[in-house]
Amino acid sequence: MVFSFANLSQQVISGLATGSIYALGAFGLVLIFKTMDTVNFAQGKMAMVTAFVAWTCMNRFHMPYYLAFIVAVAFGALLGIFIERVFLRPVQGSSPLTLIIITLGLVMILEGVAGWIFGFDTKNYPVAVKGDPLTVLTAKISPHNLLIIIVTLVIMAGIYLFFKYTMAGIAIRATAQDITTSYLMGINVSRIFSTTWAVSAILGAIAGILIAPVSFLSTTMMDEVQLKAFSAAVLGGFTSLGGAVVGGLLLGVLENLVAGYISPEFKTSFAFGLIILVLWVKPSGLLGTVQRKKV
Amino acid sequence: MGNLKIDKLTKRFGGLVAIDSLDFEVEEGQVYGLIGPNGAGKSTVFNCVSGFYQLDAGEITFDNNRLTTLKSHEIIRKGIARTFQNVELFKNMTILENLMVGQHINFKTGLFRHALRTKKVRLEEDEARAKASATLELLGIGGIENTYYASHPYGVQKKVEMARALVSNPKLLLLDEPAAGMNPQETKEIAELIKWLNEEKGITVLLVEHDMSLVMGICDQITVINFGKKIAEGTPREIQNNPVVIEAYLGKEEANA
Amino acid sequence: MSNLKKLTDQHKKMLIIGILCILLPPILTSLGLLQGYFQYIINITGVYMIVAVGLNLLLGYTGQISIGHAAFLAIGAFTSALLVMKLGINFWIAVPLAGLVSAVIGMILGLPALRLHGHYLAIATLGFGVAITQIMSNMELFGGYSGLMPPGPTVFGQEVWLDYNLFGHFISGDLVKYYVVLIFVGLTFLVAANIIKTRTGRAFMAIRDSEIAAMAMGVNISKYKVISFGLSAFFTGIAGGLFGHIVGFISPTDFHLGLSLNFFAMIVIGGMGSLRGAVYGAIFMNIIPELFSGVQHLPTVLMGAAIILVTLFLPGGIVTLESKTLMIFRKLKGQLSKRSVG
Repeated sequence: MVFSFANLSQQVISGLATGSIYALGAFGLVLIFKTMDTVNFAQGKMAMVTAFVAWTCMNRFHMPYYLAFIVAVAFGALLGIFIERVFLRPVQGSSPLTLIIITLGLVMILEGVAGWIFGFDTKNYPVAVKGDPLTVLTAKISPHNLLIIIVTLVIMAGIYLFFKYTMAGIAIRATAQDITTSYLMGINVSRIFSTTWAVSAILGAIAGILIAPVSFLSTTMMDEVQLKAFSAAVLGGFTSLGGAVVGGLLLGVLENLVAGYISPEFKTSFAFGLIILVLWVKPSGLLGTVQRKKV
Repeated sequence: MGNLKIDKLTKRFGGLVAIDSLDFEVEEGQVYGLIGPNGAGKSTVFNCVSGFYQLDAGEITFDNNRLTTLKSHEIIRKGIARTFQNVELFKNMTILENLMVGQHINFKTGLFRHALRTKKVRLEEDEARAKASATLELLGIGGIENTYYASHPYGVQKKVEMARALVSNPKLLLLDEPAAGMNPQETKEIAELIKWLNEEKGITVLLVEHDMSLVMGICDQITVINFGKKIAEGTPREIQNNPVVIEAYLGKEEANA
Repeated sequence: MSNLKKLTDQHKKMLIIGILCILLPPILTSLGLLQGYFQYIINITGVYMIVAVGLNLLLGYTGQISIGHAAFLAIGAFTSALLVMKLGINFWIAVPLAGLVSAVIGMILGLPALRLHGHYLAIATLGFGVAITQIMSNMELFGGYSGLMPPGPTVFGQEVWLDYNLFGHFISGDLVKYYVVLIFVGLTFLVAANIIKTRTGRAFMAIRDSEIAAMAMGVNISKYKVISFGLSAFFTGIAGGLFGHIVGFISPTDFHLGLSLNFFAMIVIGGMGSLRGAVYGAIFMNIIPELFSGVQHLPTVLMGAAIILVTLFLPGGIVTLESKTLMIFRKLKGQLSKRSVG
C-alpha cells in the first residue's frame, strides 16, 4: 500500500470507529473487574444475545430501529442484573478460578441458548444511518461509523459525569476502591454490584448492535470483539476506566494500521501479541503473588 | 558451619523504611532470637534472608556465601530452611507429600526418569518416604502421613511445618513465630523441641517470636529491634534488664512509672 | 510367581481394566452390541482422554489456567499430518514428533505465562488459542479452509485402517483405530501417573497450593511452570496427531474457541487434579452430544450448566462421586448383613 497522509488519516479514522466498539467493551470489563474482581468472559455473549433481541424486535415485531435499540438495551441491563444475582452473587469473593469457571459456563449457556432460539445462520443487521460517506479532513467515513464514534464519546462523557457527580457513581467508585469500608459506610454494596453489571451490559449491548451491520448477526459475532476488548483493557491497565477507553481507541487505530500496512490476516494475532507484550513489558501490579501476598 | 551475618541490611517499602541498616550475626550452634514489638520489622528480616524480598542496601552472608544475589528457591540449597508465621502447608497434598516436597532439593532424578519411574526413582522415593516418617516420629507426630493438614490442631500443623523444613537437612532453621497461637503446654513442647534440635542435631536456629517465655527460655543471644532498628543485643538476662527494651515494649510512661 | 505376589491391589485393578479394554470391544462387536459409529465415538473419547490428562496436569495439578488448548490439538494434528503427507515420515514417529513440536510451543507460551496469574493467564491463553487457529487458517501450508486429509498409519508399508476378516470374524477399521488409540491412552496414563507420583508432580502440586512455600522448599517455580506447560502441550499434541489420522480430515477452523472451552469444562466436570477425573470428563464431554444430538445447541448449554453446577455443588468433580457411591454401597451392604444376622 502506498504511504500517504490521506491514506494514513483514512486508516486512523476507520480505526477510531472500531476502536470505539473496543473501548465500550473494555470499559464494561474494567468496570466489573474493579468492583467485583471478576473478569466477565461472558460479556461478548451477553452483547450477542441483546443484538439478537434487537433484530427480533425489528423483524418479528416490526419496531423501528431506534425503538428496537432501546428495548434491546433495556433487555441487556436486565440480563446483566439477572446474571449477577443468580450466577455471580453466590460465588462473590471466591478464587479467580471459580469466577472464571462461572463466566465461562455462562459463555457456553448463552451461546447454546442463542443458537437454539435464533438459529445458526448469520443474519444481516441494518446500519443506524444510511447515506453516502462523509469527508472528514481528507478521509472518508460512513455516517454509521461516525455515529459509532459520536455515540461512544457521548456515553463516555455521560459516564464520566455520572461517576463524578452522582451519588450512585461515587458509591461505585468507592466500592471499587474498598468493598468492606464502603459496606461499613452504609453503601448498599449489593445494589452497586447490580448497577455495575447493568451498566456494563448496556455498554456491551450498544457495542453489539453498532457492530452488527459489519460483523453480521451470529452466535459468535462478538468473540473477536471480546478478545479485542480484553486486549484494550490490558493495554489500558485493566484497572483504569480511562485506560480502557484510551486502550480501545488506540488498539482500533493500531490494528487498522497493521491490517493496512502489513496484512489484514494478522489483526487478531496482533491483538493477542499486544496482550502478551503489555503484560510482559509493563507488569507492574501483575508480577504475582510474591510481592503482594504477606509472607 | 551455620554462620549467618546480617550487614547493614536496609529494606524500604515505598517511602517507609522497614529495616534501617540492621547488623547482627548468628553464630554456628546458637539459638538466636529476634524480637521486637508488633510491626518492628522482624518478619521483613526473615523474608530478606529467605530471598522473598530484594534488599535496598546491605549484605546477607551465610558461611561466607552471599545470599543477596540468590533467588528464593536457591536459599534452601545453601542449608537454610524456614517455617511461616501463618502455617503455609500444601493443603491438597497429604502430610507425607508435604514432607516429600520438603526434600525437593535432595532428589537427583529428573523428568525423564520420573516419566519412566525407573528403579533409581523408586529407591529415591522409598528413601524420602522413610525419612519423612522418621522425622514425623521424631517430632512426636508419627502415623499421620496419609492425612491432610487441615484435619489437625494448630499445634500439630506447626510441627508438620517444622518437620517439612527439617527433612531438607538444614544447617540453619528460620522459625517465624513458632509458638504463635499455641497454648502454654504446646509452647513448652515446642521450646523443648527447638532446644533438642539445636543440642542433639546441631542445627543453628534463628527465631522470631512474640512469646517472651519461649525466647528467654531457649535463646543464647537476642537482638531486639524497633521501627526497623536494633535497640539492644545480648543474652536473655541482659535483655530482660535493659531499660530501652522495657521502654520499647511497654511504652515510655509505664516504664518510668 | 514371586513377581505376581509383588503386585499390589492397585496393580491388579489396573491389569483387570487393561484386559477389559482389550477384550471388551471385539466381544461386544461380535455380539452386535457395538456398531461402527459408536466405536468411532469411543475412539474420539480416547483421544480426548489424552487431552484431559494433559490439560489436567496444567490446570488441576499445577493450578495454571488455559482456555486455549484446542490450539495445541491443532498444532499436533497439523504437524503429524504434514510430517506424514509432505515428508513421508511414518505415523508412529510422526505422532510423537507432533507431541514434541506442541511441547516446544507450549513451553514458549509458558514463558510469558510465568508472570501472569488467574484472570490474566486465562485472557492470555484465550488469545493464544484464537490467534493460533487464525494464523493457521490464513496459511497455505495448512490447507486453509479446505483443510488437510491425513492418511492412516502403515505397518511395513501396509495400510492398517482396514476392515479385516479374521477366522470368520469381522474386524472393522474402527476397531483397529481403537487399538491404536488404546496404546497411546495406556502410555499416557502410565507416564502421567508416574510423573505425579514423583518429585516433578509434587512440585506442580506445591506450586498450585502455595507458591511461597514451594519456593521456600527449593522448587524453581518458573522452571516447573514451563515444564507443566510443555508436558500439557505434549500430551495434547499427541492427541491432536491421533485425532487427525483417525478423523481423516482436519481444518484449522475445527479447533475453535468452543472446543477449548469444552476441554476446560471437561477437566472441571471430571475432577481437577485427578487422572480418573480426566477419564470421566472425557466420557462426559463425548456422551452429552450423543445423547442430545437431536438439538444442536443443547450440548453446549448442558456443558456450560454442568461446569457451573459442579463448581457450586460438587467441587472436585464427578470423580468425588466415586467415594460417595462406595460409601452408600458399603452402608447398604452393612444393613443387608445386619438384616441377615437378625
